[in-house]
Amino acid sequence: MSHPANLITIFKREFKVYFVSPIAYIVIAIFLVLTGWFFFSTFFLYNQAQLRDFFSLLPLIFSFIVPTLTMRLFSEEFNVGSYEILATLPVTFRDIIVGKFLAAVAFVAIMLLPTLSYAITIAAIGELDWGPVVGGYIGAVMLGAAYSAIGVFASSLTKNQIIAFITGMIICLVLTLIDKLLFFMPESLLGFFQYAGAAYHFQNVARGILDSRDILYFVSLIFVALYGAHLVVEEKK
Amino acid sequence: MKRTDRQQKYYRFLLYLAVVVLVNIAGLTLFFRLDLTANRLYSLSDASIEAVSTLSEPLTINVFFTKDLPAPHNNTERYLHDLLEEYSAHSNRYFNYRFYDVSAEEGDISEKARKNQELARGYGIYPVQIQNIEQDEVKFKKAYMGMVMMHGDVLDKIPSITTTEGLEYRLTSMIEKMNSKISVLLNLEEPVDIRLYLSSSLSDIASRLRIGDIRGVSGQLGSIVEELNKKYYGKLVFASLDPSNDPAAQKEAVDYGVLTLRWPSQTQTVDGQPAQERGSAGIVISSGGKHVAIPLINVVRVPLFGTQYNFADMATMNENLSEVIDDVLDINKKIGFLSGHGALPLSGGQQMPGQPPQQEGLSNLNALISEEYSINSVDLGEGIPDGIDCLVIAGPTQEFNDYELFQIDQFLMKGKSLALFLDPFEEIAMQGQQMNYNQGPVYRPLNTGLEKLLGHYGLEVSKSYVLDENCFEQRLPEMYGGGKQAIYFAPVIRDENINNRLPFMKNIKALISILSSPVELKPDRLEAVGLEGGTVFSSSARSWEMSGRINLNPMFLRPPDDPGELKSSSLAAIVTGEFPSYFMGREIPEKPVSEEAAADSIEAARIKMDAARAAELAEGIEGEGAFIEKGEAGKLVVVGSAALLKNNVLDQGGESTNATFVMNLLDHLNGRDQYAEMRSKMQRYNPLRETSGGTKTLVKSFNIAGLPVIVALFGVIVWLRRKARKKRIEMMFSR
Repeated sequence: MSHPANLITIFKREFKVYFVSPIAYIVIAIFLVLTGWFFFSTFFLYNQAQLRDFFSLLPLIFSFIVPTLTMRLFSEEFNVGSYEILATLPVTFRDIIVGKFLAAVAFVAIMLLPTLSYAITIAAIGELDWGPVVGGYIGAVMLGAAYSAIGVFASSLTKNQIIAFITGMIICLVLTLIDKLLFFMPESLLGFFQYAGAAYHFQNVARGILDSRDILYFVSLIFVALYGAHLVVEEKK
Repeated sequence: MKRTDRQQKYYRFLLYLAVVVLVNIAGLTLFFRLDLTANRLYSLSDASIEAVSTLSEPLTINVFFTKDLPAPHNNTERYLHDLLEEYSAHSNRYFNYRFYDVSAEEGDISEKARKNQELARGYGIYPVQIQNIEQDEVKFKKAYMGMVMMHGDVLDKIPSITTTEGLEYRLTSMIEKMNSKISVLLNLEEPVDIRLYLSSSLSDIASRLRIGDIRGVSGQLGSIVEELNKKYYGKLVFASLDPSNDPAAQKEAVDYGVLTLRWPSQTQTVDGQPAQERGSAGIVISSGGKHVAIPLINVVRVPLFGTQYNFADMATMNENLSEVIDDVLDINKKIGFLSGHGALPLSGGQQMPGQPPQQEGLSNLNALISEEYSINSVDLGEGIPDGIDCLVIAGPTQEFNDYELFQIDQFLMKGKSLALFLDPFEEIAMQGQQMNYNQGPVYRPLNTGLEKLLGHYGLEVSKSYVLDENCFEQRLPEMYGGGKQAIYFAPVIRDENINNRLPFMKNIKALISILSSPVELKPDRLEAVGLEGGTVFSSSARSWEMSGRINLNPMFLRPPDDPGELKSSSLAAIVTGEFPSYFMGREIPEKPVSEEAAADSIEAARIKMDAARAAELAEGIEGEGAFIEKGEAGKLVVVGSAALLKNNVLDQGGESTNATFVMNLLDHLNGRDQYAEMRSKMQRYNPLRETSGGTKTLVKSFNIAGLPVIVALFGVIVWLRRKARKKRIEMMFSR
């Protein structure tokens, strides 16, 4: 039987684990160096008071960063055997999966927090329109959540963390790049592949438009990935 | 786990997957959007939504835009992407667009890009040169920045999109124009005649004129028209006439004003003089009683070189013809522009090849209006044609007679709109000896008779100029001591003095006025006649009036010592409502007989006889509706300066706020407020403020290096604390 308290316990535990080791800070620092460098190296050249170039970097950077956060969520449990203990506890698989997923999403949100400094510094030297910035962060969290769900699914497949990372990264990369590779696709399927691309939906949100279709897409992606993880984990019982 | 349980789980997963897909498909049509941007940048205006959601034939937009261009062009491309996406989201199934990959002109390019470039050039979209700064060097780059729109058989294009300003407006009005073009063409009862008048006699002198061989022109033009006919639903009929062999064609050519050249012949007349030869060359396009001639030979008088003859470029003839055909068919909405009465002529100040446009002319205004409207020159003596909803009167200097005032009054009574740009004075430049004494021009107060009408409607234009401390400042050359000179007669109108509540003034943040007179609303009179009035914009509270003896030499102008003289003046006003006629209770003025007709006694007698006969026939018949005492709701806008319309104030591209104001005003008066609002949507290009090099370095280094360092330090602190805690626990247990 699913119980919110169990879910919260799992979430807290997983979230804490992230920050116990120095790896969390290293991941956040690497994320900040990458986004900071790619965004600010051309920022004054474009001379625009907006954050769209920063947001447009996120799908690609998240494709590499998010799977590193999620790769150990199940793989480690399978590897060290703690999963057997977990399976015997009075918690449902749903609680375990959702708890772990929410911990990863919270970590992504914490990782994005320092980048608010970009918005604040740009607002100091130009007239920043905060609407698209708010939209961009909402979109970034949704994108992070979708990629985390995929990462959770990938981690549930194997006890090898490296394989979990590579699987998660490949799925995320495909979703990021699919709308840029449309010229390879048959014309009749163009619309489908464009809609399937996560970056395509994220760009809509990042330019300051909240569209129910984009929200629906991200929610669907999260649901399908987590349900997939649920099936796999149950299979291993 | 039982096999059936497993199967069930997978079936359930597949079922959920199918539900997710179906919900997403349903979501494609049932959706909501929330625009978070400050100016609702991505929300299409109602006019645009209507235009794309009611398409009845396929509309395809092909964009040819080079990728990775430097700012601000990359921003333009992105905006265009977003905008077309937005159109697509609101359109019906007939709308689609595509971006073609046309990579840089230089270097190796893919076969696909090359083909796309060819396609672009086929549509008449050529690369433009843009400036690029690479490694502190200014470089020039060729870039494609155009798009072509195809609707039904009609095609239109924007060869270079260099700004995002008003792009939605341009696209929507293009769609609307194409729509109306299709409906005009489909409803056309008579074909459009395209007649080439080309005398075979010109072949003899073609080499002397250096215009090349003209014999193939007829065939060339025939195939151009044939090509055009595909886009004009086969409504074009081409005929080639040779005035040398056809006297009727020669007469027609002369009547249509086709260029006719004369030269002495090789043969001689009976009295031994060389005979005169002549030849005409030109194209006449006519439909429904309207005709326009396109010259085939341009005569240019060049100093030192004498007269030069250039034959029209057949490569661009396709586009020229198409423009003129659209003009002849009156595809755009009509706008009336008063001719005569010393009013500023729209055609004045035409740009000569290789020379900048004349500062005093209205050619920029003409170009701006022509993009949206078909301009009809209005002669009040002949009456105002019915298809016109808005009449513009720009700077008249001569008096209007009662009959003409009656025409204007009745035009307003029909619920139509009037835009008056009135100068308070006529500037008369000193000539001859007086100029030697360095005397400035004389300013004669203008009394055109319009004052009577305006006074009746509750408006008064004073005979004075408004001078303002908040004004344009001219940079003085070094030889005059440098610095800035305040031009008090060119007030800068700030946001707080602009009535942004008026829909067409929304988002107009600043204006510049010049040589303006106060336009005062008379509240008592307005109330008495039941009209509503409002100020459009006014000068600042630090402005004053100059009347009587006018001297506008900036050297002698100074704000008044008495602060009591300083006050804000309305410089433009709008009055709306059901206007009462000025001629109510007065005698209806008669149409005056023209001077030439009056001088001709036979003509005068004929007119008199006609009038008498008409009166005899009409006896007993009472006219109804010939005079309107109180009309339908109309609009009257009076701007206290005609100089606002001149080239030195309005820019050629129509990007300044002054140009936006004038065009928005005309759109409002023509009942196209949605278009005015669309044009006003601004600020897609949002540059940073002037930032010093030090600040830039600080921003960059803090965000690139500072933030990760702070996070890493935080991590180290957490790690050290954990280590210390571990140690403490260890120590606790080791004791």
